[in-house]
Amino acid sequence: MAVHKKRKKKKAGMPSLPVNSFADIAFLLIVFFVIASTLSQTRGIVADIPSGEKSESKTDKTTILQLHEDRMTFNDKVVTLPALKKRLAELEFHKKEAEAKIVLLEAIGNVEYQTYFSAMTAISAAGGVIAIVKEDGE
Amino acid sequence: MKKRRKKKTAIIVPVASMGDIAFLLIIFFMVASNLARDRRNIKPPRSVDAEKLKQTQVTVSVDILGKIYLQGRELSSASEVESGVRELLANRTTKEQKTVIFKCDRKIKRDTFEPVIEAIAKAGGLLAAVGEKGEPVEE
Repeated sequence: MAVHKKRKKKKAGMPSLPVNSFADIAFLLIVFFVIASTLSQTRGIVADIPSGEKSESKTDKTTILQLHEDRMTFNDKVVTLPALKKRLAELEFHKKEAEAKIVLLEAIGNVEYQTYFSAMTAISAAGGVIAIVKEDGE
Repeated sequence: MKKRRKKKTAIIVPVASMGDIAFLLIIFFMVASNLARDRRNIKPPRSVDAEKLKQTQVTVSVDILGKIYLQGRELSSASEVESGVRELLANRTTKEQKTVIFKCDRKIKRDTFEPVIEAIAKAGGLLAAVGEKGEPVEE
């Protein structure tokens, strides 16, 4: 009896990529994006600053906040930041008309942005409208 | 006569498409989320009154060296901010669309940041000044 020994042909192995862990990797990436996009919340204030080139001269009733390097004055009286917030709250801007809400903000000398930002947020939180005043000759 | 017990069939959860679903979700989050566009050397000012801001499309920043950037592109002076912002806001009508994110380092002096703020206002932008929530830091 002739025995035919058939040589087993090696099956041509299909190249395969290990994709089992793809779903896990993908879900890990999702978790990353969910966390990252929630944490990067931008904070600050929104201020609609009037864009007038030259405004009318100040009247006696205009509220003016001047920022110096070492101090700030509110209607020519030296104030600290907490005192400024109190004074602004007393003005009750929410009860006033648009024009009466304007607070002139004037920075004099080398004022840092931190001081400026603190003043802007205080005015904005009290419901005031910021109007920038430039020093004469600038 | 014995009752034939039903063969318990194993519950199979179809997981073959999980990878596809997951990758679709990733693409969604990548498109929908606002990743930090500006990773410059900027320490924003702090204030307890800082509120949450909505991300918008126009960003102006001033880094610690006083360099001004519009949409990440460096500008030579503050005067370029006005024309650049005006151009970007040209077809925007609502206040929300006209909001311009302004990021500035807390140590920057007035003669650098004030012209930029003025330029944004002149270009018709609504200023959204970025800051961190907290007490101001004395450095």
